[in-house]
Amino acid sequence: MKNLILHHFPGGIHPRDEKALTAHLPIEYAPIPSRVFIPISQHIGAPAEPLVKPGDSVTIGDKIAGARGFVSANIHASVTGVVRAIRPYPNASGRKTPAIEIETKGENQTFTPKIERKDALDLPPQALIPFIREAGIVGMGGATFPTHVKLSPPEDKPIHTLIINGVECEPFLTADHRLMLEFTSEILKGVQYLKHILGCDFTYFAIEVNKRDAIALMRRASRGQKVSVISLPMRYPQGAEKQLIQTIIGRQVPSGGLPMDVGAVVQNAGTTFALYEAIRWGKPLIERVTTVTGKGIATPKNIRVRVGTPVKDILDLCGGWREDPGKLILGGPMMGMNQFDDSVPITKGTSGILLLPAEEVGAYHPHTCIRCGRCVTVCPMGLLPNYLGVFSEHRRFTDAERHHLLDCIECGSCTFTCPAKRPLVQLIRYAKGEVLRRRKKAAAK
Amino acid sequence: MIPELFSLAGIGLLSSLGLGIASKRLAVEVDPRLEKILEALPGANCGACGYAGCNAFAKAVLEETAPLNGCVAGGEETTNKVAAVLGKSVEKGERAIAVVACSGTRTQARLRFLYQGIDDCRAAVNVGGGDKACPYGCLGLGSCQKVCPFGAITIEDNLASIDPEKCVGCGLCVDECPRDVIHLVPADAAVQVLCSSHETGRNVRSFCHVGCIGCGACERVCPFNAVTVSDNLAEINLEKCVACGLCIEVCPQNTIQDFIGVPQKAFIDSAACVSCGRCKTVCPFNAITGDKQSPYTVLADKCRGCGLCVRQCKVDAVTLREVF
Repeated sequence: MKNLILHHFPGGIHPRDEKALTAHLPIEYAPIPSRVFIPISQHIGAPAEPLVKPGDSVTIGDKIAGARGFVSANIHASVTGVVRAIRPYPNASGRKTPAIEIETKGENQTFTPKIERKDALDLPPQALIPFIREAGIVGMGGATFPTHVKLSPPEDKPIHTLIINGVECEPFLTADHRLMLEFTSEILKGVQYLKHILGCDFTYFAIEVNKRDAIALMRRASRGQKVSVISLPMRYPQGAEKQLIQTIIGRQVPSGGLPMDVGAVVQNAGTTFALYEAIRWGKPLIERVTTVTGKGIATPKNIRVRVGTPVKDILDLCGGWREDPGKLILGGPMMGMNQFDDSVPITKGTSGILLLPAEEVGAYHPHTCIRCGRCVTVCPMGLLPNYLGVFSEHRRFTDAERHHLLDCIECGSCTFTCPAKRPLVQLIRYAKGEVLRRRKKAAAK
Repeated sequence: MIPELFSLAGIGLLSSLGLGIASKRLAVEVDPRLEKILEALPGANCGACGYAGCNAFAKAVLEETAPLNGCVAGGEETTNKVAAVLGKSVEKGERAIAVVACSGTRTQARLRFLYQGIDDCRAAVNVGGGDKACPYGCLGLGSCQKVCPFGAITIEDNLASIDPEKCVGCGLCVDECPRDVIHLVPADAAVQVLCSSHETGRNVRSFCHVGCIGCGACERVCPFNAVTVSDNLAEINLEKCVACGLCIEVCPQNTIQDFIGVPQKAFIDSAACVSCGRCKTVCPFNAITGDKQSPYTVLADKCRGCGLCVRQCKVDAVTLREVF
């Protein structure tokens, strides 16, 4: 193993990790829902184009919506049944987007692979990318960026570092942790595929130190495979792509750039597993592991669910609310999205369902900035969230842009630490929207 | 004493000479009309014309890249003044004002969750699409108020309202509204649908007491085919509308609102009436009685002041009068 000196990204915070609730629970398989609602836009990029119409019968694994353009992803039926409608349906963002509604029918509800590609590593690297693209694999850490795009860097940007992201720095979430424990060899096989595609000889597998069992298991299993399993000290947001690259290879992704600009590709452990299934068995991304957790749920679980399952079904399965409902969050507590409707479906990027009881949810009244500078200390991108917040409040968007507003990764460290309880992430997100709107307007003129 | 005096005077003389020459040689030529145009403009620098302030607009007018009536804030008066400076004439434009097509106040429209965050609609829509249950309704956090250079917008009870007197129709609020509930309408539009929802009637009823449910009562009652309901929302064709107000009365949700102002009624001058009966035939409300022997009369309780009879009368015996 190479000797590695860990570098540090600036800032970061240490929220309580709360993973003990679910870290010991093996992954369960959720029963097949009676109805699934599969949004046609579950990824970054153009929404997919529906290929079915109401009344059509679909079999599990059928492509029901095709990628529109390069930065887009295919979408597949997660159950066998009949398409009932293609209609606007609430999604995690709170808005309604078109979704394909499938009513489950028939016995055959498990995906049976038709092919097995034992020789995938003998194929030329470029030949593997269509398999990934066809299976609709996207980044499963939450950002849902289409994986085939990440794996097709332009020729002038050679990739020399592959990092597998098993950090899972969001508090509460243990989906990747369980996946690494229970599907170790599959993930490592996925790593081999990734190495083959990118032509990297060596891989870093980053895991935070609170998952000792996963680190030990991964180290044992990866012996002789040129994979260096790195135990990282805990820090949020270490699992963010740019921060992880900086920690491991000590290089900063340039402002406005992509990891490929510094010759690195980061893949989430969950994505690597999905990629293994796609290449080896031709299995599309129709299910994912998600953590149902928080003090509000009766029985916390790590659960493998079909894409499109309404959250409500899963809450019922886990016994529902244990205490007065406070907040229902899809994703982790730091970057997840707060929900007001439990009929929203699980999508490819739903890494967790977090239920906070009413007593844990506080209402804060924001104060003016007291200029303590804590947000500046913790910002992992080295920005000045205090100024960005003030600029946004005063609609000084050009000034905000000059202070690298668009480099903010919205990790929430500043809001977490702000003693004046200022909604900094919301202010920044608002300003980002305005800056992009102005750019669009200027481009239209 | 004397030498000092002379030397100071000398310095003064020299520098004044220098300044004098510089002012002639280095003078920046300014079109004298620019100053005059600037005087004519309101000077609010609102940017509604699409230029960076009044100065930029004035220059653009001189270069003939901007239209003479480009200043929406100043309206007709300013346009005429600008035209006078340039010695040109302008076509008359209609005055437009902005209207918030939503009447869902906090008491009328349901909220779907408790929103805690910054007071700005554009920021609030990023959080679960906004707290108002209606996906088309006014969020009432005042993004429009912040951009209005004329102080025409007030927020009351979670709903923006626009003062028609102060509004100049610049359209800045229309651009700013994330829900697109603000529209520009002609200032004399008498009847308006104050709802933007394309949700089905059932859904609207579940979250709003004053939203359009697309029942079509207005469409059926309108004698002039001015109202159409499409995609669950009533729309009034202002060219056909005669402001009779029938739709306002039948609307079960009170979504259609009256901006008629002082109501008017038809009046027939018995001396001028030739008893031709054209007015009676055309009246959609049966408000005119009489026969071909004697002058016709208007039943004031039935007349809605639509003015059809006025247009129909060949001898100008019918007039509209304001009733108090």
